[in-house]
Amino acid sequence: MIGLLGFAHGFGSMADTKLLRLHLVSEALIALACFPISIALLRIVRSRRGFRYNVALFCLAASILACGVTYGIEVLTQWRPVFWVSVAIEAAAATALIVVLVVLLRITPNILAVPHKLADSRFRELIEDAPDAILQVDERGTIVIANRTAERMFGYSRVELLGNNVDHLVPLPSRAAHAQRRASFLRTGVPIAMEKRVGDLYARRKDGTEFPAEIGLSPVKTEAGLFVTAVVRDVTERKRLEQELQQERDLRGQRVEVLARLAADLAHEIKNPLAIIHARASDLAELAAQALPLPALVVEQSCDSILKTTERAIRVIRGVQALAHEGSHDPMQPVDIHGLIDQAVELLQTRFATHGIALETVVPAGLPMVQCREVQIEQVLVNLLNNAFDAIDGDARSRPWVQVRVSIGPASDADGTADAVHGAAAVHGTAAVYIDVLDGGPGVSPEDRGHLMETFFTTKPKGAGMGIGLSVSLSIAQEHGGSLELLDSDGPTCFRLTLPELGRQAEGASA
Amino acid sequence: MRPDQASILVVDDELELLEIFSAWLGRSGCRIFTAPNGAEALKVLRTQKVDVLLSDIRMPVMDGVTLVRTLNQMETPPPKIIFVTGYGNISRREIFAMGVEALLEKPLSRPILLHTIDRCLMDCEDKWLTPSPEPAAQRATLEFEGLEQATASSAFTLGRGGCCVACQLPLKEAVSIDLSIRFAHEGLSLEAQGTVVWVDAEQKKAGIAFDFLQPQCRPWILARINSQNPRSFVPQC
Repeated sequence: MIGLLGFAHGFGSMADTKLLRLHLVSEALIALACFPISIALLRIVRSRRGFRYNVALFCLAASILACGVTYGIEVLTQWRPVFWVSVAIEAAAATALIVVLVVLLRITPNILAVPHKLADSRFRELIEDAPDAILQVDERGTIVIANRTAERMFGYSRVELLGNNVDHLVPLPSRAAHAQRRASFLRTGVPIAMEKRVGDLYARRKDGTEFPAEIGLSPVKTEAGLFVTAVVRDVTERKRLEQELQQERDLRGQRVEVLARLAADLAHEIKNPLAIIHARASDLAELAAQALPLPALVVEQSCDSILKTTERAIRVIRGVQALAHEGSHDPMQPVDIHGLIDQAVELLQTRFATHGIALETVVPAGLPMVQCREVQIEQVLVNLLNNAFDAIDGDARSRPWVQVRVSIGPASDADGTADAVHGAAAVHGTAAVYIDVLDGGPGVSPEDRGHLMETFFTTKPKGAGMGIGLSVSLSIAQEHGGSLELLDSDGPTCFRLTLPELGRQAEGASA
Repeated sequence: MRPDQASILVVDDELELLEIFSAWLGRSGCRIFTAPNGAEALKVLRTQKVDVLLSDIRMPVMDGVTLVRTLNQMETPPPKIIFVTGYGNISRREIFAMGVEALLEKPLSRPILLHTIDRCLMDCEDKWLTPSPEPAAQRATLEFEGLEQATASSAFTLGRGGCCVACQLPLKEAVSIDLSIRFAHEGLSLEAQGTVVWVDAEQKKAGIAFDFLQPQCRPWILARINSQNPRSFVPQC
């Protein structure tokens, strides 16, 4: 090569022109190739800040660049003899190459010491498709290893992950704190197990969305420096299940509370009639034992009392049965609303009276029959009455009265006074039965109004939450083609259950 | 006091039961007052001398528990109190600690009602004279270091009609018991037949109403009750 160069420099213009042309084209091509190679190397150095062998890479890039320049100058010397510049650049290239050589000699044992199994493709595959994202970062937080799961979990390609700082995978607000935690972890170097959760951790995907995560950290000391392996598990699904389970438990707890309350009412409502029946019967038995002719009037009165009291007890039991019954699969039947209201009121009358709360009903004569599932509508009514009870009982400002008022009106709310929380427009047609439950309680605050019908929303103290709740009541009303709303007025709190009149049902229900 | 000389106030919101109970007691010669709730009962109690108060717990306007609490705060000594109930949201333990002497469940029979009233009207001395002919269903033999020590640590507390004891044995509620307690320091003993009126399985404590006391232990127990004059019939501990 040197001979060729000497030939080219010394006698180029006179010698074989073809050979010279080939020589010049080759040198120019080498020069051109060296530039992008060195630029690529410099980019790697820039993107992997903190990489331990960056100095060597930098020197390599510099020497290749210098070589490229050398070849470029060679071409130039054909026309302008700038030999001193050429020699100087050659010297620089040689120096850079020597530095690379020295560094290379020093790191070769390290590179050879990298465990052979890392290269084992089976082992790599094991990591690649682990159920958790596995990342390894260096002391500066630069990601040096990322598995396929990490790509999927965070939405970044591997090229984007590698060389990037791991802080990018942390939600913006906690990034600064994360960098600090990383530093302190490096100082202490104590592994953190995945199960040991420090509060709720979140990770950030490429698209900016966040997900709850569990993260295990373990330090890895290597010849190439200290690294940290982070195993990240997306726990979105588990959190969702946990939440669902909690809601399920809450709901069951509420049902138990309702049943406990119902059982107490039932015990009282049944034992009093039983006490009467028992007493009447034992008195009759005592009379009979005296072997006198039985006074007919006493026998008649006693039996009459026993019969009436038995019927009363049966009505109570029916009411409770209705409430305990699920009812959602019952057929829709024409129901006399008056009887239904009486049944619900009878069930609750004692508890209201015991707490000094007046419970009255205003039902006009000649009400049309309503097509409904009786049990469900009674459940809704009992729920509304229980809410009214709790509102009054829990607030000293209350006036102790509750009223159930039935009226007939246009099915669609024409005057617009109703604060339709949901679904008031579900009722079409011309006539509907309004069942209003009014109470003298403190009312519903404006901020609570919007949430009333949400599942699990309650304004009651913990442990006092009741039954099927307004959200379920609302869905029952809607299934009937009706609505449930809190009327917006300055007067007393009024919840309105609207049911379409018989015959308009199908229309409403299909809406 | 003989029942036919007693005046009894019956309180129940179930008017038909009020009528039945009045008729039953009236046949025994008692003087009867009635009230449909606690508030009305207080009105009667302010103006009339009443020996026994027979009250429901769950009533409108004023319930039985509030009625008894109000009576306990009044200057005049309250009548003997019997609760007749179907259900109440108050524990048996609290009921007896309030000073209530008996708790009857609805439905109830006339003989039981009359027997309970009879016993209420007896003085302690007479009430605890006759042993039951039937053997008790359970037995507890306890040993304490001293009476004062046991009282201070709430292991033994005496009420007007019974006691509360710490007892490791699992006792059954509403069942008769033979109770034998020795207080080593004072050299005292308590030998009684009684009824377990409540059990707290968690704290391992039980409330026992006395039905009969052995003659040798009667003096110190009566003296102690008279000197301490507790309001509770069976204390809570």
